[in-house]
Amino acid sequence: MASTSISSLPLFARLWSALFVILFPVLGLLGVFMRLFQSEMLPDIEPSWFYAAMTLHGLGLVGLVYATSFALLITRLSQYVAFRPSMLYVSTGLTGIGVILLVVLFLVRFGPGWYFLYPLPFKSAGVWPEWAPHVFLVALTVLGVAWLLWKLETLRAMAKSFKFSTMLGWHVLAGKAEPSVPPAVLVATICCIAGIIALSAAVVMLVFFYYTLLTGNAADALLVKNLTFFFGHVLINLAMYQGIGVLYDVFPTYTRHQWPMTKPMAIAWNLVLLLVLFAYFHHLYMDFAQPVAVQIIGQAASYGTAIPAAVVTILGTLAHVYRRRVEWNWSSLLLFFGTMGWAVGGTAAVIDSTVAANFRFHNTLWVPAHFHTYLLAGIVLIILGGIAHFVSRAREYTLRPARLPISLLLIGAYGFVTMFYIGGLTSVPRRYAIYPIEVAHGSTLAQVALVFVALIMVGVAVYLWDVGRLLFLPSKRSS
Amino acid sequence: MGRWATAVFAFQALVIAQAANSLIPPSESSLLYERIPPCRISTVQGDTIFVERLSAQQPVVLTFVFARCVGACSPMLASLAAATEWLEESSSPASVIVASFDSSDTPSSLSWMADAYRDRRRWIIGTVVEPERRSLLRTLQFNYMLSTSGPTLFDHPSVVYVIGQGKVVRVILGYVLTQKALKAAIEQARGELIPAYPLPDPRIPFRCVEYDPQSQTVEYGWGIVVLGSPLVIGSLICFIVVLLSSMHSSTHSETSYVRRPPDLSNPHACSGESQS
Ligand code: HEM
Ligand SMILES: [Cu+2]
Repeated sequence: MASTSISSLPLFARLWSALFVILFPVLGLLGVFMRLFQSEMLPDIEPSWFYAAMTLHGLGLVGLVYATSFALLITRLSQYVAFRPSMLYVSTGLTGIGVILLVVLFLVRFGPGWYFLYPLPFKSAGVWPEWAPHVFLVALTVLGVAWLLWKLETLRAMAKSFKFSTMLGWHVLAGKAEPSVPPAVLVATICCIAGIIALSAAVVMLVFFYYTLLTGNAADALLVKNLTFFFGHVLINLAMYQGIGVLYDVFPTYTRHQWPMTKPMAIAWNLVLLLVLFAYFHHLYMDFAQPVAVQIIGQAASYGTAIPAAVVTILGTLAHVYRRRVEWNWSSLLLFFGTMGWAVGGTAAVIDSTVAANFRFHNTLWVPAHFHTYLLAGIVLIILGGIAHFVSRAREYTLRPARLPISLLLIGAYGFVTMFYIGGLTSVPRRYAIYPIEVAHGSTLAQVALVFVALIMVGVAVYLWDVGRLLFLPSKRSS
Repeated sequence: MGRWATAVFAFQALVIAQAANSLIPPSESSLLYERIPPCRISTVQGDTIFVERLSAQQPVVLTFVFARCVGACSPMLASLAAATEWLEESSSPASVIVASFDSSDTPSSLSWMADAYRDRRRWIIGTVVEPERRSLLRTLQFNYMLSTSGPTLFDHPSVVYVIGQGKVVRVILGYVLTQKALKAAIEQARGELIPAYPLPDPRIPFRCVEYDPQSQTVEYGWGIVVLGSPLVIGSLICFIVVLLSSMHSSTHSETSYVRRPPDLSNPHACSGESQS
């Protein structure tokens, strides 16, 4: 139970970095498979494989991005607070079990989509076997427990070193400069509290799934949908915030400029904590039975969480590079462009969370468009940048300013999401393996997207060669 | 007599089962949003109506009858007439098509119907042009067969299809039709939102919304409280964790960083990661 021992964290960071650089391309290839399918280039494959791929791709990448960004954030936090490594490895091990179960489910073509809307997992239409929902619920339970433990340990470690009110930056709100608390701690605190509440929602949601599984009776679909997005929406947002925590902590090393906690920053992140739990209502605008007040709260909270935090971070990042001598390299460039991707995707998300727009965009390709922008062109770049920073420090390796491969990555990513955006604007629905005649242009868009995906693949390949490879070389020093 | 009676009974059951089999009524869930095939109606008045074109412009209520019917058709038409009376005064267009499914019917054999419903401006009565009749009936899962009750009569379901923008939006079975059901279906065909609530079921615990079909009102249920519970549970867990660990804390001074912040002057000497 001995606390401390940050010396074992490089291994932890290395483990998660390695998992990321392996699993991200693999799960990304499932995305390529889906785009090929939508291009009508795989006419001999059963559409059920599309939905199985869609489910594993979505769940897998969301989970991977969430876990890796948290692992990197913890690695940064370990400079300031002491963790019990055993807890971190228990969570990691449980996550591994959950992932293996998800892969097994893919092999039997389990395909209810990444947020497995109740009661879809129970409605196989003869595709997946009867035991699949059982295994799926076990996988969710294992992952839920793992991530709850992880958040609890982080909150505990921080609360041991910092006063709760200073963790939330309330002293800064009150106008005091001391004690100085790293912004990463502020962000991590917000992520822990919101995360623990969201995972509690997952537990309550699972109770209803188990109720149906064990008794055969139905649960209230609207309630379970609410709970699903309560936890799903918060989780994916936290993945992003955790990356921002890493950004706050790492980016200053390349601009040689402090990024202290300021009053606007403290206000913005406290606002996030207050509102992030209520923004998910924007997923239920089409559910007319929801109270109207809740729909209004959904739109207000969406604006309230997205705008202040994004403005503080984006202006902060821009202020850091404006007229400064920045050390541009794999890490700083990816962190910078990842943050900008968050801004672009966030804007598209806010548009979609506006009721009037949602009437048009709900369940069109606009949805994958916006989330691939802040995930693929956002958080994934931030994570790759964070990994590059970590590995270059651990190996005393000087990163090169990889302008060309990063340009390829950016052109590829933005071109790829542009095809989704055009699809959304022209009414192409999301989650169609084969486009019906009314929206047949969807497959043309998919073909064009494939060209851009090829650019992403080249960029990622160069990254893997330049940076990713270093993770797998034997350690210089024993660690 | 036992055996013999059983055999006859079994045989009869078989015949009935087979009859029932080929008379399976159309299923709404499998027909929903099914596009109707191109088809024309020859009306009693001698006009030709293109059904799928008409339905692209306005909601179409479609039902099938046959001229010599001595069974369900008459009461069904009377019920349909009563349930769509409001349409005659309505300013938004919609049509009711009464078409014969019987290939031996002609527009003139249906003229008694046109006479009976002379006052219905929105009704179109006629036969479906061959061979479009077959494909229309097949698409709409309209199954019928020669009746056992009399020569050249048919057993057939009483069914009303509501079609919007060329697609089936509602299938109403039975010969008793209500104004409420038809009104809702026609408005849905126009693209308006028609809320549908599941009926109360005591086996569903914690509903968000409870619908009372008697008073047609919606009330919020215990599900709303369940939805709020993670907020309470999660906050409580956070509170306990923070409380416990700050009680055991030794470093809780006003000095903040446990470790030095990254040395910003030298980017290559920062972070604790490499201090293994
Ligand atoms: C090369 C990169 C990628 C490609 C080619 C790709 C492709 C796709 C495609 C074609 C879809 C289905 C869209 C539809 O509904 O029609 C999809 C869905 C999705 N993708 Fe990606 N994607 C990529 C990267 C990512 C990343 C990095 C993440 C997350 C970090 C991600 C998360 C998701 C999610 C959550 C879904 C929704 C699944 C569902 O609807 O159940 N994708 N992706
Ligand atoms: Cu959301």
